Amino acid sequence: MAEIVLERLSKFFGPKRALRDVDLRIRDGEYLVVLGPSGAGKTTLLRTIAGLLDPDGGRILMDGREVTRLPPYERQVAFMPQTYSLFQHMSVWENTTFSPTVKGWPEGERDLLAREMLSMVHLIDRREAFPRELSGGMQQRCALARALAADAEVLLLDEPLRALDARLRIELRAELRDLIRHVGTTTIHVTHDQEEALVLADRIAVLRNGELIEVGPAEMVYSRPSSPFVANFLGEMNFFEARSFPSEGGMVRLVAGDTNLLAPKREGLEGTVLAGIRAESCGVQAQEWAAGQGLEGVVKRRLFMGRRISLEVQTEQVGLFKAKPLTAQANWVKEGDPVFVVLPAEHILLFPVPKGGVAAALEVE
Amino acid sequence: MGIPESPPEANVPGAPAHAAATDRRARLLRLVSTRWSLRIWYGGIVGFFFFLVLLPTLFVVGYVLADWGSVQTVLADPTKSSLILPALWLSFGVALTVAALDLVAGLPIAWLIVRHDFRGKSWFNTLIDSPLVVTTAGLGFSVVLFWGATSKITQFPPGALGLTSSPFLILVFLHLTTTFPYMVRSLAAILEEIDVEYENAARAAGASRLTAARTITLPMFRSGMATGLLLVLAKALSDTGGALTALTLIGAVDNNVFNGTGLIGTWKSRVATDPALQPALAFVSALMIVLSLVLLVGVKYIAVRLKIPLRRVRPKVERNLSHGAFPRLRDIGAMGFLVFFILIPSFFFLTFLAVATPSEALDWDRFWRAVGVSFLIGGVATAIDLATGVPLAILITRGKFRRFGKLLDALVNIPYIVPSAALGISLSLFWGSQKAIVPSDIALVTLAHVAFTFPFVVRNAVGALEQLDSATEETARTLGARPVQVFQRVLFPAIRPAILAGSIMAFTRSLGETGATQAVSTSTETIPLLIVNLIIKTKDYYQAALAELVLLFVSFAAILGLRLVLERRRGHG
Amino acid sequence: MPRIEAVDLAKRFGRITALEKCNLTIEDGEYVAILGPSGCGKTTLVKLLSGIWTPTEGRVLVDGKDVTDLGVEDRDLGYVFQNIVLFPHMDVWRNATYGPWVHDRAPADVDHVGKEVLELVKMLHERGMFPRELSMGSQQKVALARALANRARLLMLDEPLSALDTRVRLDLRYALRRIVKDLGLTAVHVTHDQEEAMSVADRVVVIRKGRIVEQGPPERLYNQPQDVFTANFVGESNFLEGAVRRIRADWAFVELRSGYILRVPAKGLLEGDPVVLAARPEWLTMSKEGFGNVIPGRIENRRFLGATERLQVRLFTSDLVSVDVPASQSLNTDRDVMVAFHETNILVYPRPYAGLQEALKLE
Repeated sequence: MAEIVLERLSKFFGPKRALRDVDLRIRDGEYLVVLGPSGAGKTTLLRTIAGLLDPDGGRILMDGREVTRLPPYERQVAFMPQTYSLFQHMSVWENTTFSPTVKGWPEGERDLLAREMLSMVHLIDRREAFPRELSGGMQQRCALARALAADAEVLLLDEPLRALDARLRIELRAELRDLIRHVGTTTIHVTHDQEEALVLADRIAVLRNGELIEVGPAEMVYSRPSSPFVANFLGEMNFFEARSFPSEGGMVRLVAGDTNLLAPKREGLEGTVLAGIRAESCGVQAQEWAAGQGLEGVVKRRLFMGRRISLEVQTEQVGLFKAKPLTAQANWVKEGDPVFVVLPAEHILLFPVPKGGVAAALEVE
Repeated sequence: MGIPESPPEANVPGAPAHAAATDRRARLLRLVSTRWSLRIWYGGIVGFFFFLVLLPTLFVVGYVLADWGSVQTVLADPTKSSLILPALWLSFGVALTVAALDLVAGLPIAWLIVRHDFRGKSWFNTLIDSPLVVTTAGLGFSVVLFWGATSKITQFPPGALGLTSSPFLILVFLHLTTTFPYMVRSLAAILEEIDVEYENAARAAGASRLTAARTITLPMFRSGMATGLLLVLAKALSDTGGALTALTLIGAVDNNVFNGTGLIGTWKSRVATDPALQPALAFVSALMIVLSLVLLVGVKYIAVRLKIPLRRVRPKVERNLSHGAFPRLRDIGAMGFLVFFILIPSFFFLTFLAVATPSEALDWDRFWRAVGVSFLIGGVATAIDLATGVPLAILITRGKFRRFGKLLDALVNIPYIVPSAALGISLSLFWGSQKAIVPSDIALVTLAHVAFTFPFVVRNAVGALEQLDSATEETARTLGARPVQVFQRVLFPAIRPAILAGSIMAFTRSLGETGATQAVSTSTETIPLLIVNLIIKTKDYYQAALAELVLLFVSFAAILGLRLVLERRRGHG
Repeated sequence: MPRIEAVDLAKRFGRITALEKCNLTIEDGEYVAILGPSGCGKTTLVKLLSGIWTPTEGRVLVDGKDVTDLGVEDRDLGYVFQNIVLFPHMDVWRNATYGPWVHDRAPADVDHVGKEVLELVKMLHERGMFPRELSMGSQQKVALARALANRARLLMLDEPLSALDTRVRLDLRYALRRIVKDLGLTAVHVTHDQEEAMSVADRVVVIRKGRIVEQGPPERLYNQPQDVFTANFVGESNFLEGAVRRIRADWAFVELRSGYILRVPAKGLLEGDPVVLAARPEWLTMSKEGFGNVIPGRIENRRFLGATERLQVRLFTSDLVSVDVPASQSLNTDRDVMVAFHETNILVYPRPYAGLQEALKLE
């Protein structure tokens, strides 16, 4: 268990800047999720911390000790790549005991640790099996046991759930979190899946084009993101421009077209603003029963997604609007129906209008 | 955390109870893992390669250029110079023809092996490899027996065709048997790597099997085909024992018709009595080396640039060719080729044993001594190959400087494409010119064998290493393994099958070598040399055939055994 | 207009049965999703339907005609592969127009079709680029264009989105459905992602261990799954085991552990039947009353899900259930609550023979 500090970490690949001056402090025992689109530099960050890449600038400290130039085997890290990289010619047991073995641990302690880890991941009775005999979920658990048995100070997980089936992912991520919390190791978990990040993280760090653009507790990054990009990345957003006027009770009045909406005030922001609200925060009601503030429109597209229904509503005021209400509340909606999209004030986020336009600000690549 | 107290710190292992031994081992481990010791180790390997393998191989070219005067004397002498050009024509002409034939016939067979499953497939595989167990001299004898019309052999077994005495044709027939297995193996290896889904995608878009193969699979084949071609060309150009035997038996030698290696071999055997032949030998060797390097570059270049005509698709025609009679005819044709041009001619000498009358008893002492010498040289050469080739392969694939690795990779090809007889001459000249170290004859032969078997191990190891996901090693490193431990526990077990295969190829190649052995030392009698001597010098055909038969069993057993070990190893992933 | 049927279709590899006697009909113009965990036989099914593999048993009929012995090249369909498999030595244009080209169509035709399909997937601008220069999402779009270029009415999609990033996957999902519906194609779409299946398909077929478990329109499968596996695999469910204590009119009273009772619809149940009750997390609510269809428990855990929160409640029956509540209505851990089960939103299943764990296993 250790505190990790990254100071102005930079990495170039030729002309391309993979990491730009990343400053990050990860607390002892924390579960940090680094979230970002493909190519944002998440894996590069992880590999640099692991010692598999040499940074071009900056420092890495573990518990105050500088490890920036140390080879991987002299840092106390355990790295779990996306594809697990289990040693195919070794059994589950041999994989798990690999780290203590190469570090020269006495057999007794080594076996005790391995047995404990394998029991925790429920693989203790498959310990003589070989990786190719195991299912996807079992392979992942074996890789986890091997990483945990390394008794490292930091656990580095590179998209640990990506190789699994969608449904399995949902089931195993809870297990993953519980397991690691029980062991208590500082963990850095990299992913592009925002739902995964929200469920697992103590804190989320958002990476974009090699830059750390936001760090904070999951709930804060979700409810009070600092930029439209972060807002959109953590849950599909609707954006529209509006003029804001001061109102009472810490709110402002937004005017878009002929609609008035109340929204929580944001310090230092006035005049024309970019307003946004998540699709999943919007409610949907029949126009005649409309209560609260919102927009009127006609349903252009309806897609059933299970727990939620995805709707595209054509509104007069702000154009195409996406809403993702719970199925229980929106079951009755059909394509072509006139509806009222409810925009609860507390979920409306305000941002300064981005200079290059909204589309550019949200671009993932 | 539930973990026993005082887990050891990463750099200092072991509880006091294991102090002495573990401590020493750990210190040794750390010493070996330092950056400097690794650099010295790799530097040594590269040095070995350059000074003991590459330089001696190319030495003769420099020698010839330095001693141009003697060469001119040789060229002035028509009895010698008139033989050179035709010999080179013969060598390269035969090699290219054989390569083309191997490609055409080998492709359908490789396809059969890779894409189809049928009972008895492993037997079929062994059958294809079988000519490899016969020495080239034995193959020379066998091929002449089957195809040739010559007065030098008095008893022809029934079934002998006696079709021709043309040196060109005979050499083509000979080299079909020596090279076909290599072509099929290379093609099959590449085909296995090409995902069958590409063909599926093509067929799903409406392409018949033939169209899919021609427009999708074959183009993806290209770089791999170059490797197969090079392997075949190298083998055909290198062969000495077979060519000498065949040409002697067919009477070509009496008419002063030689191929390149045959010329070298013949002149080498006379150089003791006629020292003027020395510069001539050097000249021919140098020429062959330069020409084969040109060929190496040429093949690689053409393989990449060559545009197979893709322009028009004739769906109806190609569809018909994909179904019914045509594919069956094609497969039967390929099988027929295999049986008639490869298998029968390879083993025809066995019929000779059945019909001919034994003249004298085989000198068994001499035989087993030759076996011992061959196995000794082969074993030591293979061992050296492993010890130096595997680290070199690691350097090539995992080294920090990619360009250097690529250069090394290309250079490793040189001792392999260069005809081994020429290589032998170059080597003996190199060591001969050194006054400081004078290796014994057998050591010299071994060094020569290392030179041309070395690429087999490196090739295979490089191939396996390139396929290995580096993530596995990286993970091992983050789990605390130092470079030596990574190699020992992760890398080596994963590439062991490939290394084993490479070792088999190296060993059998060494066993079958005539030219280089003879070029370096005419007194060291290996098995192939024994057989060549029996056939050419003493005309003891029966004894030669008998020796060949015994060798057959020995080699078959070795190959089968190794194959079994390989198959079992693969079962363990 | 292609209607494709599998009749007693089965496939075995040595001793392994990949697909057991499968009977399935896909109507003309239908978009059917074949859904199941890895290794369940869904890819086998689509490879058999398309003719890439030949069945060990059974027949494949297209519009009533037996096509089982026809190779895939003789069937009129488009196929999109999981690993994309664009031809690496051909650029986007040659890849997309491969189909018409091998049918030796007139150059003007080929040109026309090529432009049409690439425009459809919005990759016409990149026609000169090679696969290795494109992102995975773009590559798959070209692969889709390639599959459509022969103007086949039948489209087979083998896990077309599995190799892509989440965001790209979402975008392509909608594009796929739109294109298929606009062109009036019959589509068979294999996937392991139940959300994907439900959002693109008219009908979802759930496969497990080589067998069809259940099929139906997405909403029916989600709201009223007929099989306990479907209840777990499509969406998430809480499961409670119990036995029918009493039946009164249309209602059955099921006794759970520790004596708690829940009222459920009595359809087809008999007294004494061992049953499994299932309720989705969003169907459960926290109740203030102590009576009705409620079970008391204590909140053990809270998980932030964004717009909602998931509370894990340890019921006094010892079962752990997940309850989804709007973030604003969230409660703290270690609180005692009443979890309300709404009678009309409880699913009832006979207790599986091999045990509940086994029946729900995802692998």
